Amino acid sequence: MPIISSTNQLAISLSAVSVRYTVPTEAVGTLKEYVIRLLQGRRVGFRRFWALRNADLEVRRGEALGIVGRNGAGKSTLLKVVAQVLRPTEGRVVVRGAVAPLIELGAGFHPELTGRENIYLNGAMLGFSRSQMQQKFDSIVEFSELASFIDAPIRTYSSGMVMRLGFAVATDVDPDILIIDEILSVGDEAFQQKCLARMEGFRNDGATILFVSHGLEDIRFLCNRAIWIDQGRIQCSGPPDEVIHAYREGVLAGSGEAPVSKVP
Amino acid sequence: MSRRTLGVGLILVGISIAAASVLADFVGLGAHPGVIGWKQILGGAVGVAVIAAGLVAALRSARRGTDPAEQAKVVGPAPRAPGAGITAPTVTPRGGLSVHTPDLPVYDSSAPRIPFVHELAELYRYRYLLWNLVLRDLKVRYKRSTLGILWAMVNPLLTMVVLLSVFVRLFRFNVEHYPIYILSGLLLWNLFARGTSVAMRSVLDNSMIRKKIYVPASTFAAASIGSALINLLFAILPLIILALATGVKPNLAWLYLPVPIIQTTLLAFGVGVIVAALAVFFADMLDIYEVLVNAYFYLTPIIYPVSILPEGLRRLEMFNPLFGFMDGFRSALIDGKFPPASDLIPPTLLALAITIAGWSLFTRLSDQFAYRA
Repeated sequence: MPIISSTNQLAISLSAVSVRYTVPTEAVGTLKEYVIRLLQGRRVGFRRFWALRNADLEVRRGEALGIVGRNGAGKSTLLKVVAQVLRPTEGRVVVRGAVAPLIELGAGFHPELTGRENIYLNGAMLGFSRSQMQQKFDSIVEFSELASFIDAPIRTYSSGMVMRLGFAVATDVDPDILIIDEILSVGDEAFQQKCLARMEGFRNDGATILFVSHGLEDIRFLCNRAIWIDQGRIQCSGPPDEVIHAYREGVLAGSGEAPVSKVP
Repeated sequence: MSRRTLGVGLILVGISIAAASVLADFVGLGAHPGVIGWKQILGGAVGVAVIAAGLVAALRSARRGTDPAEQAKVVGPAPRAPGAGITAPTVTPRGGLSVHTPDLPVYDSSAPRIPFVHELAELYRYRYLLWNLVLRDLKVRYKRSTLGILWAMVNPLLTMVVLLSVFVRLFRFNVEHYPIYILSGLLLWNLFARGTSVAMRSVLDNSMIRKKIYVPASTFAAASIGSALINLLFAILPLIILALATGVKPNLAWLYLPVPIIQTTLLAFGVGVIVAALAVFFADMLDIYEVLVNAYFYLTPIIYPVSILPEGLRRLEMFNPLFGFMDGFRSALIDGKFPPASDLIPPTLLALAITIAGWSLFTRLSDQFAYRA
């Protein structure tokens, strides 16, 4: 299918994006130590750690991009940069469209509040207004299958139920861009299928998807392109099969851990 | 962009006008030094109006094209190209053509922005979240207790009774309507102390959320002050009842009562964002501030009359904005007097300066919060 490759069709573009975390090598968390060191003229030792280095990436609208890599390779940092959670240390990020982050479900839930109250609170955190949430409320409850518990405090929910509610709130949106980080382990088998179906629905409706997973099969299934990140750098980009192959090879070649994969 | 520049310009002009008129006496422009004349008040009002106009202009420009809620409405009903099947996903540009692109909210990490103004606009955009967070605080605090929200009214009353029984016996201060004097001081104090203490932890406590989804950091700090304010509003009712019961006459000056509350809120917000930003970088701040707040409690005439202070200290209280606000509140409530403008303006300007400084600090540092906290 021909694609008009004008900038208008880009949902996400990263140019030379780097993210540097500054990790103190010694524990200098206190003001006293800081002042003492300052007076002594000693600089506090910091280890500079590039979580993302010179990343160039363009994602067109409607693309479903899978991201693979080992733990600590920079996958989540990439997502955070796109989700506007982290402002990059260097480089430029441009995102066109409303972003729905499915990064950690139920991150904003409060245990003392009821499911109902948490739906409104979480919706507000995602940037929705009261009237928008009122419209969504019924379908959220329906999708989560928690109608009979909705007025009980969240602390009485099982962790699977919390995840379900989180997923229902976060995906009951009309997102232009969906960011998914390792959340397909939500709930039981049936609910997982439901989640996958909903994400497929988004993809088929033309939403742009960024999908981080160690489940390489899920990436093959959902994505039409993949990238492999290692040590903060994008190693390669292309069709999921090729990238996953390169990733496996790379991991085997290096002395690193084996890729976590459902595939034998 | 031009509108934003205009807005910032207007704000600066407004501040200059207000400052010039209010400070006229100090620089020797005023005809009657020591008395604030109507021209000065007029000048101050004009200044505030210009500042407000500037804020509106700046906020409008910052908001334009960045509201996902509004955008969603526009984009929502747009016809979508159908997907090309499940097993072979193809690129299907959403909503068709570039015609829709201008409608989409755009985030550009390199877009020029003034943190001071940008964060204000973001706070406004997330006002519904702000309200929800305030509600959350109230619900969570009172949910499991039997008296529930009544505690917001009962708690300050009980504290007042304790303080009263101690201080009346020990020191025999000669203060008219002493219970009302203590309680009103205590209410404003709680707004300040609780608001700033909770705000200090707000960025840290919510770092888990802010690492996952974008939420303007100031929303959490503002919510802390907001719930302290709501607590105060609940406690106002018993204060008024107690005042009437102990023989304070209701009068027109009570119309002035909201003013010191607003002033204290402003001050609490300004101090709150400063300590919130510092607490992200220095964990010690949490303990240091506790001590400072304690000291401030005893340095401010809350439980004792200002008249017992020695001359030097009493003069210093002029620079204590919180005492200025309490004094105004008490003289309106108890004596039925509108405080003179000359008592009103200096502490307000001080609080405003602290808030502006705090907000600049906070918004300058807020990009680094996600890296630190």
